[in-house]
Amino acid sequence: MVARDPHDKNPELLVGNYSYKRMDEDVLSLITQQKKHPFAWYIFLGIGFMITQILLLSITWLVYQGIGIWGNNQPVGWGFDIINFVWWIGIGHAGTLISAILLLLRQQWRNSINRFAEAMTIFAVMCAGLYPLLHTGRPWVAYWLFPYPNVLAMGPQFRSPLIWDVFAVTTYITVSALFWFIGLIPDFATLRDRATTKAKTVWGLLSMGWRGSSRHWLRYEQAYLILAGLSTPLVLSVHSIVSLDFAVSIVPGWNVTLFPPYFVAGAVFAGFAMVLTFMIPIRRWYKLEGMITMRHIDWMCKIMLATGLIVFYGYLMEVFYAWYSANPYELYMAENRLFGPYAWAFVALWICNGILPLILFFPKMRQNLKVIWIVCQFVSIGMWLERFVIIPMSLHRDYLPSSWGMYYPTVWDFGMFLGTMGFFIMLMFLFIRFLPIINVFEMKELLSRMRPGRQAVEPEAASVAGKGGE
Amino acid sequence: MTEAPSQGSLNFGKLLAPALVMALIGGVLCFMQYGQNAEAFYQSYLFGWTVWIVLTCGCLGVMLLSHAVRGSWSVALMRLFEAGGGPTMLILMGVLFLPLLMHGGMHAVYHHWVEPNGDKVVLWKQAFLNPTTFQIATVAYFVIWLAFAAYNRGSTLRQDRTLDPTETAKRINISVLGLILFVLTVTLSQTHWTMSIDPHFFSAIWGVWFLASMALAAISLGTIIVCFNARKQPYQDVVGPKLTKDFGNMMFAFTMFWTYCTFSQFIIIWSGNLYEFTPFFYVRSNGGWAEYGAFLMFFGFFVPWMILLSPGVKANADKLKWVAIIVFGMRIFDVYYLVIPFFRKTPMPMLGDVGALLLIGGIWLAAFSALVRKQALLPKFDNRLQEALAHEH
Repeated sequence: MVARDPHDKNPELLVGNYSYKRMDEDVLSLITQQKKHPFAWYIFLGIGFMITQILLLSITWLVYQGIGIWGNNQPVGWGFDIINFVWWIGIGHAGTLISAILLLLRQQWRNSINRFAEAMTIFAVMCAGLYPLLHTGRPWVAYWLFPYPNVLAMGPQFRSPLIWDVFAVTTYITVSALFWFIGLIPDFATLRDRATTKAKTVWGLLSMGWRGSSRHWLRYEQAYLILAGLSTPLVLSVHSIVSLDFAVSIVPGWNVTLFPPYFVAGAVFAGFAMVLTFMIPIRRWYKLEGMITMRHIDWMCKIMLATGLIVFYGYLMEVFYAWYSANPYELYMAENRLFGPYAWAFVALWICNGILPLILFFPKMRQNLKVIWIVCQFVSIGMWLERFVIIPMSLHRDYLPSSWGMYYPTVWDFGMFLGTMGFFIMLMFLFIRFLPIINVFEMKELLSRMRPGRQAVEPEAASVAGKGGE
Repeated sequence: MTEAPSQGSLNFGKLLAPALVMALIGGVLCFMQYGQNAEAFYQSYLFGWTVWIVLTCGCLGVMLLSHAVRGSWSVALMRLFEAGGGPTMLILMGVLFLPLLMHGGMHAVYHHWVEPNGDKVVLWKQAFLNPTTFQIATVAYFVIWLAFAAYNRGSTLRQDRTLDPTETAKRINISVLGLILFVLTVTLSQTHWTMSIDPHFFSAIWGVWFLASMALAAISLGTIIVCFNARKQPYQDVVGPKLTKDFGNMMFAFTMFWTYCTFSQFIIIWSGNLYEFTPFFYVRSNGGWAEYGAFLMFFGFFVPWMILLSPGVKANADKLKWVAIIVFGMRIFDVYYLVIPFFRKTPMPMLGDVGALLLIGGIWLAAFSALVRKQALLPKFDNRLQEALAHEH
């Protein structure tokens, strides 16, 4: 159990009179008793589903017409496609941080939020992956990105970070999905044991013969730790490689040595904002406040605050070293950001990511869910603007003034972006309905650690296959 | 560890005599170097001073970080950090920087911007790179660090006497602010003190890179002291596998982070191949520096990283102390790689390099041994380590 500060007024990691049985009921009945879902679930699934149609329409038109329907031009060859790719990839990082790094750091507060954040990671990476895939212009030959023996006598350019991205992102989604699935197995088994409908077969297949024996637990723990060990460097490497997409070039505003750590911090910042955006309403709709407590929220806010400060440090250093460089192109880049045609985006970025999150310094604000939710929206907007500032704003005016231009996204750019948001919302709400949103067996473990002797008091409560065993 | 018979109490007083001998030898070597070539002496002096300011700032930074996040692993090291990065040590390091703030030192080390000779790049940044700003800024960096070091030191000592828990909450707030200012001032100070040796060069990761090195220096020094004295009081009461694992994990994490910063800077500069940055690595790729760089990567990254992957090593104070020595030693080589190629084309050390390292190191260690003896080595107000160990047993 985490050492408590006597002056800490935040509640524990588990609030309420929980038993193993009640945990099963609170979480797993969302799947087994479908009527427990609030009306909001139908509304948001419907919204997500409808917006997903815009995505489908945008993709169909894109494949039919080609990427000329986007606002990308010369000199702005990368626009919404790459902005949105980086934004979505970043959002996924909170999940990996919570599930892998906090596990290795023995932080038990991750137990009730990791499943949710991991799901978000996978869905966000799915959304992210769409953009570079479609930006190739010929997604049906995307397999050319992989090195395979072919008669074309062509192979990928391994010196390009875009190729590193292919490997980084595919590794990331593979490991994240595996990690998520392995973590779900004991809960699938519990669902199998509780199911009274034909769904029992599905849960049975998914639980892969799990019986909760000590051997199963041993192997589970080993596999889970190995995957956590694999995922941890991925948190750093994926977004570092994404940052190198820009940093290895010589575009002023991109060739910044600080980019890798600053991108990673930004990713975690954006990811936590998105986790909180969904978690705050969902914990209320599903009455999960006892398991996702204000202590969780407080810590997530602190992580957001810390990563936000790192990001802000990055902004300050970009401007300072642009000045310090005395390089006319770097200097103009800074001037263009501050006073150029897109200065509004730069100012908004500093307000959203640099100034507003500072409100989280105040403990009272970290206990005010409305304030937190609003700050999270600003952070999400700010992190999108950050990529807008870095990508089109650096490209539209670089070395040759005769080649300068403006970037105007088209309705299809907005359609794709909105569409992926709808797709993400739809997947999140489907996840809430069909999979346990809280890692029940880990919460049971937490319960047993927090309240030693509880099993003796409530023997009937400890009868589930998800925890305990033969 | 704790089952082994006690070997008595740790006495830092034994450190004083060797430290003074070290300073004496260093002083003689520095004097000889000064007689041969005064300019080279100042350049060596910057190297020696930077090694020890990295350690001093590391102690202060890790102390601020520990207070800000209430880390329990660092309680055993807190008094060491308070001595190594405390107000007295900061004043001492500030005084030791004076030779470089004087006319001779500035002209020998920072002559590119002290005498711009019409260099347009240098003239552009004269608001930042001029002797007056440099001197005022240096004083400001030390004053800021001093304020936070003094507050935290005072607070923990007060809490030791009064056991007033509100001190902890106050320290968290002050340390968070301190940490923010610390990161900014370390970035600016290292831009002034080291990056500006070549005023054409700039790298935005420079400050973060130094921060990683500082953390490694402080944690490895703390680990060396605690692990070498694990069977002596008062560490015998708190050192167990869990604590040494924490030390090992911290060194592991920061070793990776340091390598990550090093590699990020290298790959971005190498790929960009622009005239401002490339000379930095061009110099460091010729005349033996390439081999030196390989050595640095091998012993600064691969060796500690591979060893620290093993949980068995981290759980054993007797083994971990040797890894900590490697990590600490590599900080010296790291600073040498950062500073010296700005002045010389080969890594062959000069008398002054060794002399400055020993002179400032000797003074630092002598002061450290005196400061650390002033208080009990383990804070009384925070008994989380003792509780954790009791719980393990």
